[in-house]
Amino acid sequence: MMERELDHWLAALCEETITEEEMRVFEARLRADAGARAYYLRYMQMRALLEKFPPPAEDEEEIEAAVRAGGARGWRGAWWGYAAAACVAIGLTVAAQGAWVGSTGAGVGETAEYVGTLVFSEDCVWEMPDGALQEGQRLRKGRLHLGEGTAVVRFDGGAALVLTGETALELDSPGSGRLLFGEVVVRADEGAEGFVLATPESELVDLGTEFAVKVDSNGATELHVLEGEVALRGEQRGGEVIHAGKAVRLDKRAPVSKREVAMDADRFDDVVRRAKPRERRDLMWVYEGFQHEPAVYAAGDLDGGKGWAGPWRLRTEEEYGEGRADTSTDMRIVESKLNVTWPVKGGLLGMMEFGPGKNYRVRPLANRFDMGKHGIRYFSFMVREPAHRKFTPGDAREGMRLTFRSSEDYFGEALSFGWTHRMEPRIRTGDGRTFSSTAEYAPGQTIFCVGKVISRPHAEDEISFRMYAEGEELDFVEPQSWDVQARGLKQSAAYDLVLLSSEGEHARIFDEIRIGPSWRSVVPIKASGSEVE
Amino acid sequence: MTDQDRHDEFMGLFIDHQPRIYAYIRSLIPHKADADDVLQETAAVLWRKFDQFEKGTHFDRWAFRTAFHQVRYFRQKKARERLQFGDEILDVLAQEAEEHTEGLEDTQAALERCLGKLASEDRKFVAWRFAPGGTNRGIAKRIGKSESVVSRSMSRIYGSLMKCISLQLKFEGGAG
Repeated sequence: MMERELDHWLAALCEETITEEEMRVFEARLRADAGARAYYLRYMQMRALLEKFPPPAEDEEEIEAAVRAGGARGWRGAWWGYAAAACVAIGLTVAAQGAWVGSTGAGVGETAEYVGTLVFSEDCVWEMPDGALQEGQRLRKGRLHLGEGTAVVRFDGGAALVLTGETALELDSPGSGRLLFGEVVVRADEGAEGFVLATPESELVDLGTEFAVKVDSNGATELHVLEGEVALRGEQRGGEVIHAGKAVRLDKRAPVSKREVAMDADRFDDVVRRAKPRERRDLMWVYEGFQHEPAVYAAGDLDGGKGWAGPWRLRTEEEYGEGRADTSTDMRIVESKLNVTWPVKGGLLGMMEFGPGKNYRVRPLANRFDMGKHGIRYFSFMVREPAHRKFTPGDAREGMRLTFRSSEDYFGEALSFGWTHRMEPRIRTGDGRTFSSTAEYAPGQTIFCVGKVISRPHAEDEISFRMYAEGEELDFVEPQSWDVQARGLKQSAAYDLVLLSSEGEHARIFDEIRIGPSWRSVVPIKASGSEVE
Repeated sequence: MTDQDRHDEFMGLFIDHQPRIYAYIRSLIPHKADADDVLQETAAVLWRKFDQFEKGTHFDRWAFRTAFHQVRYFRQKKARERLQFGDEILDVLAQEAEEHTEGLEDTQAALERCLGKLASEDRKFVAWRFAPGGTNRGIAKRIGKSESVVSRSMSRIYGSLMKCISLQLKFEGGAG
């Protein structure tokens, strides 16, 4: 009973819900009772540990395995690793700027089974038992062996590594890796500080910076700090810091185990640029640019694009149910009604206008995508969201979404991407599960939307959605964070329909639907390809 | 000693002691964001006054003293915004917290084991709650329950963890 009361006060204290009266009683108790104080101190210590080194929401099987093996030792190493890295970052920042950079370090991903994503892959030859890796593919703990080409791996903690030429890299956790041999350039922007790259010679702790590492076949390590600072850890190297513009060679077998060498490394962007990254429209599976003359068409007349099994149509009676027919049956094509600030070919030609009211258009896909099988799909589309005030009670709900449905079970599983009436990005499923972002976008602008759907037969699906406001630069590679990600989903439907929905008192413009296997197959990139991130 | 050497020496010490310094501050400041601010200020003051630190003496005690001043200063600034304990109990807690943090590593090891023993649903809640930006409200939204339901669950989970940690430390004979 005593502990339950303390638990209540402590939780209320930390969550800022404690009342004045509770506070008074709690304090009196602490004054009088040494046992209560000890409990209080242990509780606060526990919170401090959880706050600074939060546990990952690991895959169930992995947790069970770790527990069976006698405790999740991997967590412990990782936690203290983050702690040390964060501390170094703190110290340096205080020293260099007299200001603080958050000590969150590399965040721990929620599905520890996966630790990163292959976000870019150009001319890559992978020397791995499983064969080629696909751009966009999620990466588990384990070894990557690149034979040739250029690849960018983004760890879930935020650090990005560009690998060039023959390179072997172990992915250990969302915030750490091990370079066995080869060359990488590491970039850890704000929020990803604390990334640890181990080499045969040392552990390198990124302090929110950019650095190149080369490991030769004997394990000797060269570190070239391009920006910021890197801390060396390991035997006799505790806390040693290498600053921007400096390069060192670490080799235990040499007469001098650490010596300065001349800087000789390219920046992250330059390395990627050398690979001549380009948009990959050629990989796109499905495209609809509504490239028709402006006019009102009959249902069944709009059959352009590629990757479709038939023209746009209205919903059938079975699909909309009694009394829920469309407000308008027009298939209206208009021109130049989007403000396209991205390099979207065809973005100013034809586009579909949805009139006021509730309007829905359906189109069958030539190849369904089966959520019961392993697959990675990206899609994008553009919408002109009309100028309307943000929702207040009593207003008509304005909204637009793109939904994947199955013709075999139209009202069964579904995946829907759009936004709430407050313009918060949202993912919804057929069984009513909703995942909303706290990000809000303004109405009265053209929005570019990108989504990613990873299906797995025996594990959780990963569904992500990101919106770009007018004028916002599109990411060159898949971004570190999405506006909203759906968790805990395991779908099995085979989606073969795309449904566009527009609801509210205002007309809306829709254009440029793309579906493909990678970010670059659905997101336009400037020809120069100079923007990474 | 060059500035760089001093700086590196400071960092080495700070790295070693930061978890204990944070745990100490957190024991005196009930809100995480406030504790982060105080830790930031403490780090800045420690660095500014590093000349006054006598090599070979206890960095942790010096850091705790500095942190305590920062805690008091912070409390004065926030006196009107926050419900807070009185100065008398704060002094007592500060004194005891200093000793208590000596067992931090043992507590962390125990916490890890105890997290492994939680039911998977509870473990998930803890991970969500302490992920960057995690709140009870966020969890409630995520699972479609009310915030008070989540608060009660979290309170129960913390209680289980506390019980488990105590048992673990007792069993191991660890400090804490």
